[in-house]
Amino acid sequence: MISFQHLYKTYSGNVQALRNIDLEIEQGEFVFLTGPSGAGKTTLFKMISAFDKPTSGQIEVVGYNLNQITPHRIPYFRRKIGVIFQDFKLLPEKTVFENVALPLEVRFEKKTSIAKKVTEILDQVGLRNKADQFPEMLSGGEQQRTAIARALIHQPGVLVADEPTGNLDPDLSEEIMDLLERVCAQGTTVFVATHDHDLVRRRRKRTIHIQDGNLVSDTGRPL
Amino acid sequence: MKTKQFQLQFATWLVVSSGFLVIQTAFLVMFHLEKVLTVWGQEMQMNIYLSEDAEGPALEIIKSKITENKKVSLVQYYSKEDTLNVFKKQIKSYAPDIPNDPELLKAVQANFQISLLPQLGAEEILTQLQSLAQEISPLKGVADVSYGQDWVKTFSTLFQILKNSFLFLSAVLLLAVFFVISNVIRSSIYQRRREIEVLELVGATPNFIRKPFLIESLTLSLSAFAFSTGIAFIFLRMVKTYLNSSSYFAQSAQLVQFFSLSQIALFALVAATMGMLSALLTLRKVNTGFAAAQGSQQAGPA
Repeated sequence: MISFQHLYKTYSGNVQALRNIDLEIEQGEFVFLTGPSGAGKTTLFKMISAFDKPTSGQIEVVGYNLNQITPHRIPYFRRKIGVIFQDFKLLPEKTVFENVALPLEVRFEKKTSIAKKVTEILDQVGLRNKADQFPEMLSGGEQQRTAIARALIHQPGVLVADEPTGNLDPDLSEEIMDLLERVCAQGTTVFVATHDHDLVRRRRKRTIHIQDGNLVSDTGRPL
Repeated sequence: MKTKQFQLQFATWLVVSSGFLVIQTAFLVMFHLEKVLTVWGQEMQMNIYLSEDAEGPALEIIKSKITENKKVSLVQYYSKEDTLNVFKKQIKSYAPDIPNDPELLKAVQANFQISLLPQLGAEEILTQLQSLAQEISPLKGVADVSYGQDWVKTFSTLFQILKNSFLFLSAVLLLAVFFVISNVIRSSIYQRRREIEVLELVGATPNFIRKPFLIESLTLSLSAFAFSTGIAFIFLRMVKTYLNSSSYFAQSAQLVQFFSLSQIALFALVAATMGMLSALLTLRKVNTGFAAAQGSQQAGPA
């Protein structure tokens, strides 16, 4: 589902963000990515979502070879994945319903189909009664659940979450993690970057740790 | 932020409207100068003055040379006597003694008066008269050829200078309008960068992202064009009303006309194309991914 082979990323000024990353994540796996700030977590996620390209090495996500992907194909690739961020990236002038409907609108799906799917997903994340509210009227946890609903509405093969609990208190963080585990249980690969070591310990999932751009441990596979 | 964007859009709309208005006024002035030139051209005649020895075969050769030109519509021959009679009639009321002067017959010359087909444009008539004059002048029996070439040439040169100046001015203004629209679209992109980023994130194609900006640019350029066309129309009606009310210019008022529908459609097409082009060039960044571009600005690959 996600595969990195000898992946290197070097930025100008000879800053090596990633060094020789070899990684395989199978369909339906729940994987944590941990590491201090500047370790290369965000760089890795940018590459998974085709916002950046590696300097060398191979990267394949949901069957797309991202080394060779053309700009024209990138939007179609992104429709196969879901991405959530620490800052939620919700559009403040759109309601919860409209924010969640975006991935379907860009595919020109019919309004009736959009309404049905949005209602279903809002039910799953427990936000059906907030559909007509604007993001600023929601709590942090509700905003993140809205972002998760938006990332899941098109049933992606992979859900990538960059510090999804970074702005939330511990209770809300647990709530969001429960939700992500439920998503994973339905067959979606979930890849979560986090700083929160307690949360990772409690969940007992495969955990990949990177430091200074190097993959230093992987509880799922021997290095 | 929204109020600021609206103010910028309104100011841009005013600037674009003013630009279009100046361009349309320049074209209207040009069209009307050309009309005046055409009317003058249609009234233009050539006089071929004959020398004393223009008789018999020489006269026939001159006449056949004139008539074989397909663009000549009317040829009239005036003998010395005919010319004198016409002159006498014209001068009688001003100077009653001159028609009786015996020396007058020596001063007048027999001549041909030639008119060209009126449907030829002014510039074409002038060109034809010039080439006909070159053909006729060397013939035996031709003393002089005159068609008021000096003032026509002066007017034509002046018209050309004005036409080129107006075209240059229009090109400069169109370029300015292009950059003004481009600027407002750039500002709009900046204001909506977060929305663009999210749209890219959820798999929107560049076309999907570009669409609202193209519509915005098209609306701006076409509404500005419609407004400026309306103002130009009202302005022209006022000029026409003024000319109609003046006894001296009343006839000229007939010449005053607004653009035809096809000309308006052509201008609208130019305005729309320019608006679209301006937006498309500004939106090039979105083609390669706005969020990706932002990412590479923060830390470009080595």
